[in-house]
Amino acid sequence: MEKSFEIKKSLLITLATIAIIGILIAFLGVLTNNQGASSLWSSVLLNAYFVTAIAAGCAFFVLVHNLADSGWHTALIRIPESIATFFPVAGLLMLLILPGLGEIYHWTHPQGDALLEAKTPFLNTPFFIIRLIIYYLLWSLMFLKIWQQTKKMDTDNSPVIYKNLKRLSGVFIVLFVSTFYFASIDWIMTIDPHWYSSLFGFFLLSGAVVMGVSAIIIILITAQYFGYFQHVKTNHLHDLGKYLFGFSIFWGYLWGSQYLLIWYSNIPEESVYYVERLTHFPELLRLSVVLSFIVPLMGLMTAGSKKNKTWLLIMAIVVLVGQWINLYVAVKPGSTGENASINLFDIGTLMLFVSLLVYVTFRSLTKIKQVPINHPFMHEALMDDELDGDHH
Amino acid sequence: MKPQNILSGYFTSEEQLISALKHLQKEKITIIDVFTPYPVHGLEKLLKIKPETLSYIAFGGGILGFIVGIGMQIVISTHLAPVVFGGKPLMAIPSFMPITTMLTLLFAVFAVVFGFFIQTGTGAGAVNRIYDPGTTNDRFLILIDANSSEAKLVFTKTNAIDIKLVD
Repeated sequence: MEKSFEIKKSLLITLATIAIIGILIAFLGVLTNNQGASSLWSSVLLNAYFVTAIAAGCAFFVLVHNLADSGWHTALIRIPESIATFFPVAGLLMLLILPGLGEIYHWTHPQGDALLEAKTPFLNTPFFIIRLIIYYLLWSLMFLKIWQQTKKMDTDNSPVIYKNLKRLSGVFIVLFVSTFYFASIDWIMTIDPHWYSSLFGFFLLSGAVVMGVSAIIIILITAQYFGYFQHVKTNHLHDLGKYLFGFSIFWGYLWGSQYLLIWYSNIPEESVYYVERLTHFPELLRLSVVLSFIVPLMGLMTAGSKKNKTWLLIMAIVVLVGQWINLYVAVKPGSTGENASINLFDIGTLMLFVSLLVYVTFRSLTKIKQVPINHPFMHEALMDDELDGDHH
Repeated sequence: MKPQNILSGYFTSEEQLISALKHLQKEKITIIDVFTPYPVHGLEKLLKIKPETLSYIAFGGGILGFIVGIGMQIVISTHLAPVVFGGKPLMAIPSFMPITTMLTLLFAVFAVVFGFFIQTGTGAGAVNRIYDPGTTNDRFLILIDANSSEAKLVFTKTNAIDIKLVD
């Protein structure tokens, strides 16, 4: 019988401690900051985007699997669904950057720059804020709707609910992917407002999926360690490992495509993006590719490595760190400048935001059953182990 | 060592096949081979077939393709045909990436295909015994060792259809 999910006091204390230490470190970071106010604001943007992207990756995971009539994911679908309930909080965190828009984005003061002046119909502060609010409202409402159906499924065994979920997922995935594409352009790409790359949105979306899968793996293995989600077996971990492996390669492929095209054509207004990063942040740029592409490519290649819980956990954490550095390299050079370095404020706000994400996820998990007993594919999801002969 | 007597019998569904195999294994009857129209999930584990080595062959082929791809381009562009294009250096690693990727894939795929042919004894010119043409359609065929006396009796109990000696 499944152990019903509860937030223990010890977990709450741990999370609160991490959050408070995070606030203290961030405060120290403000006091010792010598890189100007833009460093602080862009750190908030970086970390708010990081947690939003984790939720977005999980949202993508849920929508794709609902739509594809997939069976195996049913055993662990509650985790990505719970992580995706973070969208409203992520939106509030993202609103924190609004006072500092002028520090992060050059297009907020386009005077004297003909190119930026020409872009003002799209890149202006009021429209940016409206878009930001629309994105988060849309995503929050989408996952409120999914969440309602999910909760209903716990008590109601009508197959209509799954049909509804599937129909909703079909509409939502189109809305979600297109809005996330534009959101990534809005928040990250416009930091370098003269530069553009048409696959940048998909590049960040693939990164978000990698982050979402990593977060699912980390939370699943942690929950299993404390005695929850015991019905999730090695087969499911193996599939999650394949996801992490595959999407890391996809991310590396998009990274390579973007870099290769810009390097090849060597047009100054395009190559300036990489020139800046290769001159001032060469270690971080290479580290991000190594950690989120080379390491999972080599480390998760064999079937055994994907089934090993400890190894998979290590890989997921490494990939998350790599993705964070990737975002750092994308955000900092344009906003803070060439002197930016990872400082206490970055680490502090990251700890605070991640502890919030974990808290919201666990709080959502307490409200639903870990095993979606009325899901039509539940039997299929658990069947693999019966064929192994373990239970006979 | 080839068993003298082989009994064949078929089933019409995956579930019947699995339960029959379990029953035969319980009675310690030697199962020689199983033929199915499509890959049946969990069959390898049931028959205790060793994990295939094909993935290692693919990896080896991929490494070889990588070395050949990048080595060939370096040698050609720096020694055999040194042409400066687009102001890039002679040994411009990023421009070698696409061809190296493609050769890695090509060698890995060839290694898998020919490795598979050799391991399973299939491919052009190979002659293999067809026990029942129905296994390509809707039949799940089991071959068992009929040397022990109770083999046929146990096989009959599994409700196998058309049990007969294979000559």
